[in-house]
Amino acid sequence: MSGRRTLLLVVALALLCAGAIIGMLLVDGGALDRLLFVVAALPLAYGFWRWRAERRTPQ
Amino acid sequence: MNVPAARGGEATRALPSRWFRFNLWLHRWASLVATLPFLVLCLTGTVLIFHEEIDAALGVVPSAQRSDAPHRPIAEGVANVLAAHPGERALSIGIDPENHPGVLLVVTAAAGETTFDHAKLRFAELATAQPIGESDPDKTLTGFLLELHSQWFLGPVGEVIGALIALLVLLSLLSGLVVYAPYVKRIAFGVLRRGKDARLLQLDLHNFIGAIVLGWALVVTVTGFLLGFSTIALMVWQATALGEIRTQAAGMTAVDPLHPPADVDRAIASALANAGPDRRITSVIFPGTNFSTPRHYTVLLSGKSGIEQRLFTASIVDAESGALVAHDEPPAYLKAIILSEPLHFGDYGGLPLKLLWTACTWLTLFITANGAWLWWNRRRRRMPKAVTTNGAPA
Repeated sequence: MSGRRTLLLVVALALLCAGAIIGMLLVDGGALDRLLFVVAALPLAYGFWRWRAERRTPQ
Repeated sequence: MNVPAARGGEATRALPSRWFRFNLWLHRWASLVATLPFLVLCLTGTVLIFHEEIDAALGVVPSAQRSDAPHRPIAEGVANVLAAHPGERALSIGIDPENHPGVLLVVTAAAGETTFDHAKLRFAELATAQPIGESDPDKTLTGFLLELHSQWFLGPVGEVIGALIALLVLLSLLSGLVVYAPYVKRIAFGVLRRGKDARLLQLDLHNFIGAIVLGWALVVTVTGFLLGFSTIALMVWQATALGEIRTQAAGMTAVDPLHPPADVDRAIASALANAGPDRRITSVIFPGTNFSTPRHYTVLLSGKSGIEQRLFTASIVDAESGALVAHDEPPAYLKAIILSEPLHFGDYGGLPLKLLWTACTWLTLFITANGAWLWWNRRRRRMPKAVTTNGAPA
């Protein structure tokens, strides 16, 4: 992935996460609330997945 | 976030632009100035995420034995609490059926008090109107930590200091993103250069973790900044919206705040009669306080679900006649501050959101400390080696 695309990905993930955190406050429970939680946790989950993948790759 | 290109001893590239260098400087110094207070905020914030659970475990708010039973009049509960504490007056009452079902909160102070500065929290059971306990918010663990976290034990001035720290962190995040841009062009996202220089590994961790907590950190920082102005915003609201009614009330006869002619139940009935069907009472502030007038009650109502649960509307009720005088929504700036609180503490989405908040707080705690280490390590490397008096390296 090019540097520009990675930067866009980081910014997009950050904005999605922030939007989902705010969205969770606006909606009142239910499936949408759970979906928004998943989106809010996405950067952390993606980071964890990248970290595991990177650990398996020989240096 | 830091970038290798800006550091001596690494690959030579085109000179960084003035914009980049400015952001690197801003990122470095905004972060360093905020490091120590931010570490305190992260540690206290981690505990405060679980304030509901901690307060419940420590029994800060007593629980009612009969939470579903029909309620006695609220005025009776207030009278019983005051009878148990002679020389005190009621400043306000509060009801929270979701978190503390069946419990009436009575905020009291010495009879002559008009402010909430020395308030005490007393509790009564709604079903029996009998006192069931009391609490001093300053003496609870979460109350102590909240005062440290939000005010640095300095009152409203401390809140503004907190806002300043939040501003520094926000500047650090935004400048960090600019500094991150050239870094990510050369080091793929998630790559940690292990087994080489310890500094490179810490730099990669700093940038990687910074990138994944960025969205959360932006929300918490912006809301922390807004919360720093909560006391000021309340004072402005008092002076504007309440000030108008106070001016009108100045020409009226003040009521006895200890025994208003129209009791608190009448004020509640009057406010509810004029509110929508989905509104409920959150709090009633008695006449003769800095959030009411010498003649009027201020009744705060909120919705029953969703965002409406967080936002209140204020009804001003004449304590002489029990008639509704005014009904008002808080201004936009106050709404923004009210909504900032749950967004800052992450206590609105149950345990999963609290755990996400904790993980992000700890990761942020790590990159704050590791960022300071990166600065110190770079500084140490750049310093010329000490030389002994005979000219040999020490």
